[in-house]
Amino acid sequence: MTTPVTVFRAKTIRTMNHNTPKATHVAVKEGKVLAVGTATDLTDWMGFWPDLTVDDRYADSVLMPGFVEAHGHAMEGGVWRDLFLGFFQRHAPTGELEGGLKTIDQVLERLAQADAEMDDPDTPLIAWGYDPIYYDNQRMTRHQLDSVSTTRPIVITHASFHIMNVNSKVLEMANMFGETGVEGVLKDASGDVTGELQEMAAMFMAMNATGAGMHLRETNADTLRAFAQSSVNAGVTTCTDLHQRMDDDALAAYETVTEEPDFQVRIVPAFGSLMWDVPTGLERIKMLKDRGNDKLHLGLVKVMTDGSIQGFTARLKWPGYHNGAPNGIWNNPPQQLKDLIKAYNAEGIQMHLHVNGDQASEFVLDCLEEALNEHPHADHRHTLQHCQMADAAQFRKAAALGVCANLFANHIYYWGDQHYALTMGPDRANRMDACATALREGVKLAIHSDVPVTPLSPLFTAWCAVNRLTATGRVLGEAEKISVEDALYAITLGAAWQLKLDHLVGSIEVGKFADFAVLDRDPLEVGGEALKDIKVLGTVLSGQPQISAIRGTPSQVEPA
Amino acid sequence: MSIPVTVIGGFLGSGKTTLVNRILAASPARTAVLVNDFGEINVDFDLVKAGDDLTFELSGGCICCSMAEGVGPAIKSALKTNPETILIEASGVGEPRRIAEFALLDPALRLDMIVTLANATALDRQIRDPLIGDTVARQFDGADLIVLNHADAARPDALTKAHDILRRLAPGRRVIETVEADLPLDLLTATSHAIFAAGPLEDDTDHGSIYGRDRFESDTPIPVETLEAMLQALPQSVLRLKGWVLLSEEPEVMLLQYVAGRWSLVPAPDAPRLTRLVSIASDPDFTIAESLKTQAFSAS
Ligand SMILES: [Zn+2]
Ligand SMILES: [Zn+2]
Repeated sequence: MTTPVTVFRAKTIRTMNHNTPKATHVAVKEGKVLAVGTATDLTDWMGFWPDLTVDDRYADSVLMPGFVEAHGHAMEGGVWRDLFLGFFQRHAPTGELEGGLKTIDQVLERLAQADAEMDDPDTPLIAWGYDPIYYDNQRMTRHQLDSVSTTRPIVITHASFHIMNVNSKVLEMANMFGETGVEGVLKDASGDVTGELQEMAAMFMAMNATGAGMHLRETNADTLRAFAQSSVNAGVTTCTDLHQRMDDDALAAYETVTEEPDFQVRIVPAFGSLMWDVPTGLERIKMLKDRGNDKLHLGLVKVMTDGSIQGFTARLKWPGYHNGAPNGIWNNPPQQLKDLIKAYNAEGIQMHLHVNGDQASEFVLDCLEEALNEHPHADHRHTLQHCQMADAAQFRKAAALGVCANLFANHIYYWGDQHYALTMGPDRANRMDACATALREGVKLAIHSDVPVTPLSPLFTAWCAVNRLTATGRVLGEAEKISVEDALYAITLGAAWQLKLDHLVGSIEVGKFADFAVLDRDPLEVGGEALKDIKVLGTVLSGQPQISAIRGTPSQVEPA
Repeated sequence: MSIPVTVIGGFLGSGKTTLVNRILAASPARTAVLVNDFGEINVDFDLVKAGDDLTFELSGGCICCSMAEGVGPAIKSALKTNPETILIEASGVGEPRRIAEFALLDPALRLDMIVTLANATALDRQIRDPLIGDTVARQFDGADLIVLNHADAARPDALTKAHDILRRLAPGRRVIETVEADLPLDLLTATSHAIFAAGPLEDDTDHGSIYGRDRFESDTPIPVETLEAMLQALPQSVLRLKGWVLLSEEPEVMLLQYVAGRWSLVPAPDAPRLTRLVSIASDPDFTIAESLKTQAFSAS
């Protein structure tokens, strides 16, 4: 008995394999690439493989290797249960276009609409993605939210995740009126409670009082399936979930979905090392490494160090934040982080290290240097994640240590203007997410979205790295632009390398998984400025076509 | 009645774990303890008298996770075990003031005390370290009591320097020098029942020279104004003052809990009709009677 062979005929196939960079036909067998070639080659193939069928559905489309998102979070599959209130438009996994709210009044209108659509007047209305940084930091008040509803608790989590706005109903339920003595329950000059809640105590107590669940962090089979659809919509066939407690429940959810024959993406969770004490964590990651399947790749470890730059919680070197804000916060005392990094390295485990500010990236490079000197670890592929403020010296050191960088190119568009004006100032903002420097100094590069922090769309991320345009149209660091070829490499093989999956995915090459992104145009023909306008029609995973849920415009971005 | 919460903060090496263990050894059996298990040395669980069911781990991880897995959920689980007191050990980078906000917001809880430890031998170096200086400094925000630990190991000039730093970082806060975080246990435990018993105060000989204890008893009602004026004017040296107060304006006896400048007054329906207060101060000469007299005098 022979297994059938399917040949996908496309307008163009960009393989990312330099031996056969361009083709029109790809033969697939048993979910893997059997051959790559042209119409002439097809004649030969028909001779060898009599049960070959030609699939013409992509005859007018362009195929690329399925994109690899080396830094995203499966939380994307869960957040859309709540209302999105973003300044920029983005697509839900189901394809609806949400957000794009340009004023606080539009935010309130959207809330009122959602309120009207809910039947029970007491059900909490929970929203996310609100970011006052785009509204000149104007404060929203409980009185504004009371105009939406006085009976229904309304809880809005800011994009930073460190601040909430709530209506009077929530304050009442959580006993937050009167003298609480809590700094996190904000008051205005006249002593009126504003409804803005900061930091974990006030935020937790508000959430708890409304009885609303902590949706954001849940990983279950349904969120993973929604996350997979988001991946298809973006042309992604291999996606990370880069901070996962990976307890038994989460592991079971992962195993369940990835064993379903129609699950739509390969998924790579990273074990959250700081959520376990070191000995328990090491034991657990070793257990995880021996598990998994074709669609589930375990064994990655995540280490958090600092916070975020736009939230002013990243750790910066001198002179600190441009606007004088105090330095950010460490997740753990640096010495503890160093001990942990050494312990995982000594066991031969690859780490993905969240470092936003330049003090964090410098510190982690020093830790890795010590760790690698004490316990040499060939082909470690330790990767600095975000690494947004690293300068040339840090990239040189990373290259010397064999440390990779996964840069947060989307930040340039979404927060570049704020970095220029508030957080870093012109000089450091120009060198943020320095893709060109990283490549020039020989660092293995990937670029990412950190979905749901910004939308999942590797072509958009590539557009950011190529054009470096902010939302208002400023070019941030001309000298750090990279070529379309380099950007496409970063979202395919570059990312696959950092996940230690480059032998399986990242290029269309004989023997690799038949994972493709299906595009309406050729990224190497449209020019760098149009990368974000290419429409993703879907993906092919192990030879199985998957269809995008997004109809109409492909662009995540409104004109500046 | 609300459950008293004690929060212990301090950077690595300040003696936080030692202090937590001391408190646990002296605490009522049903003390729930929230510990950050990621730390250098774990709490000696033998000392947790009620065993594992009263110990709750605070996992580390990213800040976004603190909503789902941090202090809030741990307190929620702890409350289900009906504890008499709750003791929370902040992580090495945790800001005790922010943790204490849970106790201020949750009606089931009462913030008893925030204690932040400082390492007398290392404070100066830590504060100047660009990697951790600001983190260490922030931990003193809102502390009721700063414990300058390892005082025996610090050279005299280092000790002076440490006091200078603390005065600058936390002006007006009470600072106590210790060795091995050795503090009088009746200062640290929110619910020492002995304090309400009549009879002579137990004499803690080890600490006798540094700390003064006083007791005041009277059945003459005190005007609320006098009491409040006294509390406001209490010297820095008074660390804890607690007991029953018979107020002229209130039909019911009130329970007073004063810790390092913060106080609460709640009705105590089962208390005898009298004023009985006990204090512990870092000044052996402090007396409650004297303080009350000064206020009564200036009010009249
Ligand atoms: Zn991150
Ligand atoms: Zn992330």
